[in-house]
Amino acid sequence: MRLVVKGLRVEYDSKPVLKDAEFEVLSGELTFVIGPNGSGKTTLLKAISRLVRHSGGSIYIDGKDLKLYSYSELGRAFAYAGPEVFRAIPSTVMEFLLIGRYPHQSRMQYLESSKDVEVVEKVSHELNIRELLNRKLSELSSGELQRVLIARALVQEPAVLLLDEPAAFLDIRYKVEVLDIIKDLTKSRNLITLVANNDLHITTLYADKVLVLSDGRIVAVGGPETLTKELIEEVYKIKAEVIVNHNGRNFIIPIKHA
Amino acid sequence: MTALETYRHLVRRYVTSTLILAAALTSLVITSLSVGTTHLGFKEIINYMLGLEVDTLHRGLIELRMVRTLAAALTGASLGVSGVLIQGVTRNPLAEPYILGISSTALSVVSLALIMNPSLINSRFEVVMISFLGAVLGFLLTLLLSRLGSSGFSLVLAGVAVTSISSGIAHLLLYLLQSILRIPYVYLLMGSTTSVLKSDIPILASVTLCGALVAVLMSKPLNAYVYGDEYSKQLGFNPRTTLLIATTATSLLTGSAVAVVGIVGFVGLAAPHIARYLVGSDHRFSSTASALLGANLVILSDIVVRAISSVSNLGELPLGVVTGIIGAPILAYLVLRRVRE
Repeated sequence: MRLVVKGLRVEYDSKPVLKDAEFEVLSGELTFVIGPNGSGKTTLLKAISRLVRHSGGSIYIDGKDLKLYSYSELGRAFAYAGPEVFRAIPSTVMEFLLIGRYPHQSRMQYLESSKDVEVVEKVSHELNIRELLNRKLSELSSGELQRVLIARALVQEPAVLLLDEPAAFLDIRYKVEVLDIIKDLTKSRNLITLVANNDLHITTLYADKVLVLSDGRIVAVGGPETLTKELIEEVYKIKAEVIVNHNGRNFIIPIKHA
Repeated sequence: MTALETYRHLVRRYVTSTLILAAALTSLVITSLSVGTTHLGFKEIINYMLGLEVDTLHRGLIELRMVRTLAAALTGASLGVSGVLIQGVTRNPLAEPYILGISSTALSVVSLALIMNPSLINSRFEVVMISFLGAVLGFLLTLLLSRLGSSGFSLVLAGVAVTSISSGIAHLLLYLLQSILRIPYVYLLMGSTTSVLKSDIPILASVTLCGALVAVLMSKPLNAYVYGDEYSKQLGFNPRTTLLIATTATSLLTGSAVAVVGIVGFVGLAAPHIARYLVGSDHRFSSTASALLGANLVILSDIVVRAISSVSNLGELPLGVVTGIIGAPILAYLVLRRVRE
């Protein structure tokens, strides 16, 4: 499967936040979207999953324009997991995960099929959250919640998985654990996965492809070798240094403010 | 526990709770028919229900009590469903038609309409529609006022402000209206089933059924909605449509209850919370459980009202006093828990 984005533009209050974004990604590819705060990472992911309206450009899956998709088709094609979830009305992890099945159910279907429940079972096993199913969402630690948010998106069984800062609040051990899972699932389920991320080290370790945003514009797309000292210095306005070059991947660390 | 076991447990809990609540409702209905200044035996009531021979005088009494019992049950169910819907669409567990100023504004608008055109009192359907418009107005006022703050409490505080203002207005208008209404106006301000007519029941019943049906049909959109607009949208539901349908249904349910029985507070708060405790927060389960719980709570309160008046000889207490005593501590508990978080 191939996701093609052409000339994508998004405006908030007629102020452009995403300018003519163009790129292609394939199934089985784990793509990292990086860039400074406010560079348009979240907007890009939300525009692809149709959570924000784009004012120009097109998105295609295998040549089919997304405009031709129905709501439930979109729900089966894209799943977005952002960092936010309202938790004031008490509900359990199980109840939260079950909503991910709605795009797969017919309008008149009132209860879940056994397939729906099996998917929840499988995903909760993969993300190691089976013990959490009966817990309240509001009682989870931030690390547990992040795994649950990703699990909910996976329960949707999408072709394209969009994860916004999926490991932001995790310590390095859980970060690596969660990203290992994401990488494995991307390969085993042949997903198109886009991860918005701010951690250069993690990006270098895991990315098959890197997409660098700066001020709403894509300034670089390519393999992990795209990340060079010069690019990072220019985009983030810092002084950086390459500490290791391992298998063609540059591990870059910031030294000081430019 | 596996996902399948968890899911089965959810469904089983719902079925058990529904059966228990339905059984409780049946026994409360029988009790409600027997309690009053003239006490009737359960056997007589069961005979009546089975269509067997019953003393004519007693039959008349049972039929009178049946009207108030049905009114109490339907009001309770309406408020129970309203509570679930309004809590869902405001994503606020403290929301309730009375607390958010919906009930009081509906009553003010009804009293204003009656002052302008006293003959309206003869057309209950029109009164229900006017009450519905008042309910919508009350909710809009509260929403507008709550825009000034951003915490979960600002909605509740705005609601309390709207409730206070419109209760004051309703008080004044109803005081002026006393000669037309021929019933003590506290009964409308704090709810009572004494003034309900047999002909009101079909109106109340049809609104309650429609509202409950909407709640059931909107279960999935609401389940997605409570987590945030992003969840609604990507699962294929328009969050604005969900908001619009659920608030319209809430206003209609609350409006009809206010028009027929008056303001019965806190049922819309207590019922959904107990329902979620019993069956979880999935709207497919919680909305019907909350309807049953609301019906149970209001019939129980109405029984308490009549039991007290049969021994005190001081006339009947308003219904809202009893539901307030049951429901307000739940609000206090929820506020305390929220403050601690």
